[in-house]
Amino acid sequence: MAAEDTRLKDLLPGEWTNAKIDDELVEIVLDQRRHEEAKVKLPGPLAKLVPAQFQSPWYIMLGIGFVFTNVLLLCITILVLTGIGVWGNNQPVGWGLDIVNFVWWIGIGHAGTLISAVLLLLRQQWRNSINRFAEAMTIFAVMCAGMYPLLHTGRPWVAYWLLPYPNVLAMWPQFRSPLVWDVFAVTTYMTVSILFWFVGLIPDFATLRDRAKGRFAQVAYGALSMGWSGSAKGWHRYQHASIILAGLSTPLVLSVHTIVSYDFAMSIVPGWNVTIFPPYFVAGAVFAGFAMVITLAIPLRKWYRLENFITMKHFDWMAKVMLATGLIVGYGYAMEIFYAWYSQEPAETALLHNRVALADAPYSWSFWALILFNVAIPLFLWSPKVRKNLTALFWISMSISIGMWFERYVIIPISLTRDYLPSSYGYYTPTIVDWGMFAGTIGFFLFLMFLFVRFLPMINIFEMKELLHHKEHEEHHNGHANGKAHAHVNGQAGKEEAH
Amino acid sequence: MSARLARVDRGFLTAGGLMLLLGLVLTGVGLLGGPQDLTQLANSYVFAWTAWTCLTFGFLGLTLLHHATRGHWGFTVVRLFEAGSSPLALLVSAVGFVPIALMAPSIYPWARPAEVAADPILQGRMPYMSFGLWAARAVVFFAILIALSWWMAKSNREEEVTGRPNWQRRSVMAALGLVVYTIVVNFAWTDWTMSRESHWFSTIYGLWFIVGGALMAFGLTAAIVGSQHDKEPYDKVAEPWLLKDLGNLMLATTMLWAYFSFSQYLIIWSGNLPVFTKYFIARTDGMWLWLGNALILTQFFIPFVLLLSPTMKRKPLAFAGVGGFIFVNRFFDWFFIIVPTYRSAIGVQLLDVALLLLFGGLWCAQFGVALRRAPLIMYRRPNLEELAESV
Repeated sequence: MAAEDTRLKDLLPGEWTNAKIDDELVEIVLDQRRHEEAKVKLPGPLAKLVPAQFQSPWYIMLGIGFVFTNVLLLCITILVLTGIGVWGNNQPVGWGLDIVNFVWWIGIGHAGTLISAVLLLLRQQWRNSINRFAEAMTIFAVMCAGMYPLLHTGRPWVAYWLLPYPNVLAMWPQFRSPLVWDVFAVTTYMTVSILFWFVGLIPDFATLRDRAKGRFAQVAYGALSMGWSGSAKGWHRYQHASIILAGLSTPLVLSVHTIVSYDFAMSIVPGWNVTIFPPYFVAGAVFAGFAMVITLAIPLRKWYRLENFITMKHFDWMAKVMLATGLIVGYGYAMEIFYAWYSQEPAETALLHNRVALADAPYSWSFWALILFNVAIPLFLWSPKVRKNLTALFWISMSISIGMWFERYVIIPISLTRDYLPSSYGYYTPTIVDWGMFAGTIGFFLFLMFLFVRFLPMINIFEMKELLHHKEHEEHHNGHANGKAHAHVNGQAGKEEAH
Repeated sequence: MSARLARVDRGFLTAGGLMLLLGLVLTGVGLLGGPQDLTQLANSYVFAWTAWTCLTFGFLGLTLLHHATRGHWGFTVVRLFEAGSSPLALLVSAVGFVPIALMAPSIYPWARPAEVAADPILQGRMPYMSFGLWAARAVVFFAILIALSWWMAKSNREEEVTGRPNWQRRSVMAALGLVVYTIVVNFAWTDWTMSRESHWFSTIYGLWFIVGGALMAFGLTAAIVGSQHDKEPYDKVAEPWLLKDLGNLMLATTMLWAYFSFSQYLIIWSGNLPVFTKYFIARTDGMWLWLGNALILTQFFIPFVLLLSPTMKRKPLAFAGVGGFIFVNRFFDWFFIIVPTYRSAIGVQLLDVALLLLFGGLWCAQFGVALRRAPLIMYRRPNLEELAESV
């Protein structure tokens, strides 16, 4: 039964008290030794090069993130000094890897909003232990995404021209352009996501403030907790604020990626002017977002011994969400192919050929890679055994992340290489700066994620305590019900004996 | 004193009989009243058949959704879903499809050889869009949907009668069934209604129809549960939490319908390509524009505002009213989607109403019959008081 599916004991197994939850989760932030406990076995030469205390996952991941963040800075410097000609963009491919990466990152952010807002409104308690780092992931992913269109303007220092403000240049944004809608959608998304994340952190900041030993930590977390005292009035207002923010965020789950899909669908480029784009982009975003949550959750759970907080039930639910959204995405691809054929419009059938044909279609390999990574491999998620196997789940999630990148690659540069006029057919090859920036944003994302893991509670402490409260209530209720049943049976037996 | 028994089956059988009678009389008057324009007759027929078939498909989609997700909201209304999409209901739609096949040249450009000979696009769709394959697909589509409906109802009933839990298997089958259902319904409506437009196509069309059917089914469910709240067995289950959940689902479906409709319109308007715009040009011509504008209000703004209100969702009769409003207005939307393809000036013809009543009568009658086969609500289900507490 559904009620049995969501038993709270499955979401918080083991014996817990509020103090134990505090100890377990606060320690990750306040006891810096926790980040050095898990060890990584480095290959021979590296093991000699890296000092022993830095051979922990946290240092390794932060180090990788830091190196690639520097690669990103280097690429941005080259780009700003030279111009966007350092990218592979050309005529007719005006949008290349920059926009591919923008859409990829924006999509990844969606799981955070979905888990925090939509699942909160739907009263899904399995969201409690994964919402915090999914929200952090959203913010960092949107930061990575946002820099691409800003840099694509060529002169990011005047990017504020995109905003409508009275000015002597008589400049006014073109409000009929979805690119301007994007500016509003993404900035709203970023603002609300940060607000939601911060408001959710306030009670946990107070816990950290109260438990911190060092003066600096006490002052820092004290300032961030904004005088939180845990009063009934405070909680009442907090819950109201959470619901309002969830209400504000829920339409954003749809609107942001819908507007991103409009960036393409509003044009007449074959393969872009597609009416199914809005829902299929949204489903793709949730698909990609959950894949990234699983990719991060599996190693973090292991390294920080969070098995009691992020349980197999959580992975099962997330895998099911991925399966459902993956099927929607697969349906979207099928519809694109079928209706391109059904239309019999020359531009549409040429696009179909360009995507799927094995000969005279220089990019069809990327389409088939997309089908492999995004449609075929995720079908393994139908199997409950696969959903319970973390290694399989990790690699399927990685496959989805790769597949979702290919999806944007197929849609954006490939459609542009073959437009209506065969005379303007072209070819697109990303440059080393394109790849450097992509690798750089992944590094930047990792760098921020691992800083977050070290300095902020990655699992929502007070919501876990709330879950414990509900769990105790459920156990008490079940015990009471069983007791009654037991008494009833005994009573019956007693009566029969007396009879 | 015990509450009166909700006789939903009797109500639908009576309404079905009356509608059938009136529909037959009016159809007779319409057909005998003068020489017939076969194109307009077929147009009215497709409209009436599509509207009621979408309701059946909508109920089947909700049945599968309930079994796949096993949400608490579904246990009390799944009987209505099953009755609305019973094999009999699908069989009625399948039989109703036969005249469409017989009138195909009056309905579909691809079924008119002269038109195909002059049109390279229609030629390019051959042989997929040839009569033989089109008809064969329809048989396969109905066979699949009937099998799905039959298996789900059988499995659910078995669990209830024997007490042996088989919900896990049903849940997996329903998830797979949803995939099959989406594909089948998508291609079915492409064949049966989209292909009436010679060149126009839209990739969201199938989903748009699926959501439209689901909205219709939710509307009718809300109308039944809300209006029968004080009668057995609904007096025990039409609790605020159920109305709230059903209302929220109806709100989400209303928003989804608006989202699909608006996105489709905006993308086509923005692209401004003749192959796509002609669909909306036909629907913004003359008085059709006013019907389109009215639908924005009746299918989105009014239900959206009403369904946002928690107070409304606590009043069963008001809730029933909103459900009924959504349900009735769906017919105007199907009219707007189907009829303008072959009718330039807006105008309701006698046969539009007559055939709508005829199919409505058949639908209501089969719904009443199907409701008699099993108790109105599942008696072997999670304890409803516990569910109410957990919400």
